[in-house]
Amino acid sequence: MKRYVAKRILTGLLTILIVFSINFIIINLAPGDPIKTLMGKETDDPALRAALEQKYGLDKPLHIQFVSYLKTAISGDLGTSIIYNRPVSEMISEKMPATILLVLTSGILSLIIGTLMGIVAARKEGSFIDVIFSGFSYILNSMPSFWLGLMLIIIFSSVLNLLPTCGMTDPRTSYKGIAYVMDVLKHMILPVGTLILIEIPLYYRIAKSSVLQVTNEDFILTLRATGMNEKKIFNKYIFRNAILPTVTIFGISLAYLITGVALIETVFAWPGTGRLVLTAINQRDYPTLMGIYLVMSVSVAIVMMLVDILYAVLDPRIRY
Amino acid sequence: MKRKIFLVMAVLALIAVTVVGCSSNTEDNDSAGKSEGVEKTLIVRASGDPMSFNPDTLPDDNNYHIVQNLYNRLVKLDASKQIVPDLATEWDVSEDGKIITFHLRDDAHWHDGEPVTSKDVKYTFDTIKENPTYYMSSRLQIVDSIETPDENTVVFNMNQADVSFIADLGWYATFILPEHIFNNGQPWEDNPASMDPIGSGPFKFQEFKQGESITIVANPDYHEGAPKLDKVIFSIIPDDATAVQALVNGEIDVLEAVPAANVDELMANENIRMELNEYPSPMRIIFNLKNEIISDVNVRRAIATAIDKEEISQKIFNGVQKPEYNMYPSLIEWASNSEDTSPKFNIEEAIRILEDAGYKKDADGFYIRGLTIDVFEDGGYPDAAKLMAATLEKAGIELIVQVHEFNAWNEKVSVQKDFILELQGGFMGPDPAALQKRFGTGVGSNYGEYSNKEFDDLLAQAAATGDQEERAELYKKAQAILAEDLPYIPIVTFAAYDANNSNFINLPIDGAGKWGWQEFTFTDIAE
Repeated sequence: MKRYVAKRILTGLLTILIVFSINFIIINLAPGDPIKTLMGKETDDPALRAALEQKYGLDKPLHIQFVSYLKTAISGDLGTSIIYNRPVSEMISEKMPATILLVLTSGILSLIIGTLMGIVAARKEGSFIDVIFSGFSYILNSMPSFWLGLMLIIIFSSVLNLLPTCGMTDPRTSYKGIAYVMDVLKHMILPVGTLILIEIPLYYRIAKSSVLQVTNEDFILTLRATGMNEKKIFNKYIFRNAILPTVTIFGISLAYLITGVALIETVFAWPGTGRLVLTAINQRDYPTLMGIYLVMSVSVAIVMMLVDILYAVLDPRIRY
Repeated sequence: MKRKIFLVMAVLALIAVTVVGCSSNTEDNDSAGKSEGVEKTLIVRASGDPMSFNPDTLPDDNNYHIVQNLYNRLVKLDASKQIVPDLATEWDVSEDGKIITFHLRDDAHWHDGEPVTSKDVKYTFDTIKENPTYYMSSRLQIVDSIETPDENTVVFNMNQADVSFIADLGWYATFILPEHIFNNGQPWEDNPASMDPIGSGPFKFQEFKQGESITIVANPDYHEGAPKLDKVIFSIIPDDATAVQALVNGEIDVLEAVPAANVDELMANENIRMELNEYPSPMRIIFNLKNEIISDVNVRRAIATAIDKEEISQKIFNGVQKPEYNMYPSLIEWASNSEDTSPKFNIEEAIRILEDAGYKKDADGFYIRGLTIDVFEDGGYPDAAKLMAATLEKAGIELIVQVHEFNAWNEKVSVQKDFILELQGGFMGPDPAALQKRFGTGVGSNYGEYSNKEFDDLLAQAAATGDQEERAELYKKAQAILAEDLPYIPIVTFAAYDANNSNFINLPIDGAGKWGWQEFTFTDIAE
């Protein structure tokens, strides 16, 4: 196990370096540059463009830009945003809590709801409830998230007047303590609700198909033949085997949490990292993009490693 | 094992709860003790985070509407996009047009109580001029020196006569900054004062919550009188559709530029007041005159004649953006020439122009093939281009529409100048001298590389005189040349509805001739 973990860390580091280089190339290959955002849409002043390119080192050849960026990144510095003139690490960390709150809450709730629905549907395959759940899941799965978000806003905020339209807090007030928490919770309901609805089909399908698959395995038939209690077969043998893919999916979706909910954050004006990424892409803010992708590839690498280890814990057959 | 999974989930839930708790701890401001409901607060939609609160380093549309309430300029643009006085109550231009003298008001003060003087004006423009990365720097090279004969007089000595310089001082990146705060040896962009602004405007900066909102509060000592509102909050909502719902639900009070699709719905809402805001920023086709086919004026004239501006206005903009024929925006009436214009829609006429010029139909019925138009994917532009391609095809001209993301479009069109036709918008103010910035020989924004000596001379003459009638005459002549040469075709005007909560009066849109285009100094709750 120890050797395995060391090997995993090493491949993880290598992956991060490769991803880092590919990101750098792709970001710089995209047409356009941050200078246009700095200069404003209204004018094109060649003297101003030249001065800004020089200031940010964008006039230097790409390989020199790459080496200088790699050097600062290795020393743990994500650089300074060209557009906002602030440290990238500061920009990311100040928007992380909002995104983590949104993604974790909706991730956990949809994991539980989706998986439970999947298990129920699998145990009563072909029944009325299975048909309803599967139909529900297909409909949700084919809905664009931003559209669903806007529809929920129109229903619950504009028509029913029950919930705030957008944002994380009410700008008119500045609550503290428990009132603040309640305000955030109220603002969270719609974006979290949208995310849950969008993510349920994912967990539903995985849970249903893997429960079905395990149920049809020979060893389950054998256990049944021994006359073992159905409940015990399910809890002890089917569930434990069937939950593995769900754990992987959950791990992966957490790893992508930084950017994964950008559209929802935009629709609900939620001040998170997803919006930061979208804005950085539109403005070609190279350091911010590189910083976010670096944080993302590191977190994907870490989560994948944890998932592998968790696999070994959940499934005693897996040993390296 | 089930217990373990439960444990993992419990830990995660705990994290979620802690996050809420932590963020509430960082929240610490001074609203405690204020009685709710008595405060007059206006909430304005903002579409993104400002880059900085320094208004002079770069032209940032995300801070422009905020800094107009924190700082003053010498002069400013009003809702009709004309120049009105700000810190300078009056100004005179010397006989030869090379000396401009501004007389400042003597009652203006910085938010920390220091008086605003001519020294601050000199410091501001000298600093911009010295730093080539600041937006107005290259424009300010026209200024040889700035003199301050007394506390309330500023004299700009210029190396070339250009009265349009005054109008430029009322636009982006020309806000007067306090010398005693900024002059500490640090460049403006790294200066802490840029994130915690001390201005001279009607409101004082209070708080910036990243990604959420910017709050400014009334400056009771403002030289034009204390603002009627106590507070203006700029609430950051990136998505237009969400912003419309927030307005309908009363969560914001001011929404600029309503999407065309929502206009009817909001018009019918009695809590919302809709006012049309027009800009001298027509949608227009620019021709790349370096292209062999396009360099023939007959081809340009045939294209201009085969575009149905009326149809584009109706089908894509619900008639809000009107067809534009004048070569300088018709909104600026004193300078716009409505006699010598771009041609009216007439397909037979377009065909006749091509045949007279000797073009022959090919087997598929086309006189000209392979023209492309580069458009960016926003504001109805791709759809407008498709309508153009449809009518042009009837006139035997093949036009292929190429849609790009904005930055990619800009790279292709403005940096590489790799296009045949392109569709763009953009401000053609604050002064008709903008014609020179867009179509003068060799200037940066002249993507089509148009060059006409007579046109350049007329614009140089117009810039050298302070007499408005004489200037109007010269600009109209210059437009007649453009109508003849057709280096570009205006398509539709730019206009959009501003939606405001009808409980408020004296909004920026009501201030033509009186107050600035985005300033809330006089805004109040209706009785």
